[in-house]
Amino acid sequence: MLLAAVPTPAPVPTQWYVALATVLFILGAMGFALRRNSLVMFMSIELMLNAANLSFVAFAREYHLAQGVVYALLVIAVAAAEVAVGLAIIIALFKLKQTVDVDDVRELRG
Amino acid sequence: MRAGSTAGFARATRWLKFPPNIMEKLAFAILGSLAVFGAVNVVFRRNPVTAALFLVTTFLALAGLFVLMGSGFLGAIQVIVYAGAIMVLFLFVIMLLNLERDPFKGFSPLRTLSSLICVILGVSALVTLVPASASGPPPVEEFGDCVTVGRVLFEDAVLPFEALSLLLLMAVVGVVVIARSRHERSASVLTSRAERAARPRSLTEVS
Repeated sequence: MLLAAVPTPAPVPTQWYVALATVLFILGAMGFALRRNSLVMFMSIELMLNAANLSFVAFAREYHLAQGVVYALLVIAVAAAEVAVGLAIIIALFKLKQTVDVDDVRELRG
Repeated sequence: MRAGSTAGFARATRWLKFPPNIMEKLAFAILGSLAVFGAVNVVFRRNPVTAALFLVTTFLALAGLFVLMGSGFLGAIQVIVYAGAIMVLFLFVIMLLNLERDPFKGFSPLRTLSSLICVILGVSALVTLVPASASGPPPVEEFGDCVTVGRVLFEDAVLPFEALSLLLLMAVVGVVVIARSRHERSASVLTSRAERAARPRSLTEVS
């Protein structure tokens, strides 16, 4: 048998993937808090969603379940819907205000 | 017996004469550092187009990590949907808006403080949660191929799947409503403004 000739390698542990996902999530949260450009803030949200997907798949591999992959798939679809609506809102805002800077939109500030 | 993806990766890199676990860890290190590099550039680049292209780098590195973990299906979906569709949408919008480069005004202290709080919370999560996440038996089976994912998606997760179709429909309708040109709505807005001006303002003048 061909597979028996190959020794089963010790895989990359789940902790490494979770640590990478945490680092990516931190970077996304930092970008969301730090930047004023609403487009870059949206990209930071995408970064956080991808970090969540990475940990979903890492734990799915850990427990040999396909449910994690399915929910990562659902997260991707929700992100697609969210990006479409969010970019439409940004375009409407730009038509109204000629800016994408969130600090320049302060009508609702009390 | 289905060939495990890890064993497949080991077979594909056997000609390099390295131990297979070293090869997998090397691939993880390269793809992970590429993902982090792209994410740092997304956050700290000033030009949104550059940030979007570095975000594509991060997405492709994550797709490679999905393939390395043995879920080639999700890697393909990641490339097609994220790096293909979503990022093209982003780039279209950025170039449609035609932003001039505004002068860098520096990060405001409140934003710096809030991002520092994010970093502190995230690092504490990294220190406490990551060692607690267990490392189980080595996976040899492919766990995320199309057959398994389809079976779970249409048997266990069929209700979220249908809810998702409704959500996508709502997103399409919502985008059309939001992005409709303002000329079509201006007439109704004007009449409502005129009505509001004609209305007695006693309620608004109370405070």
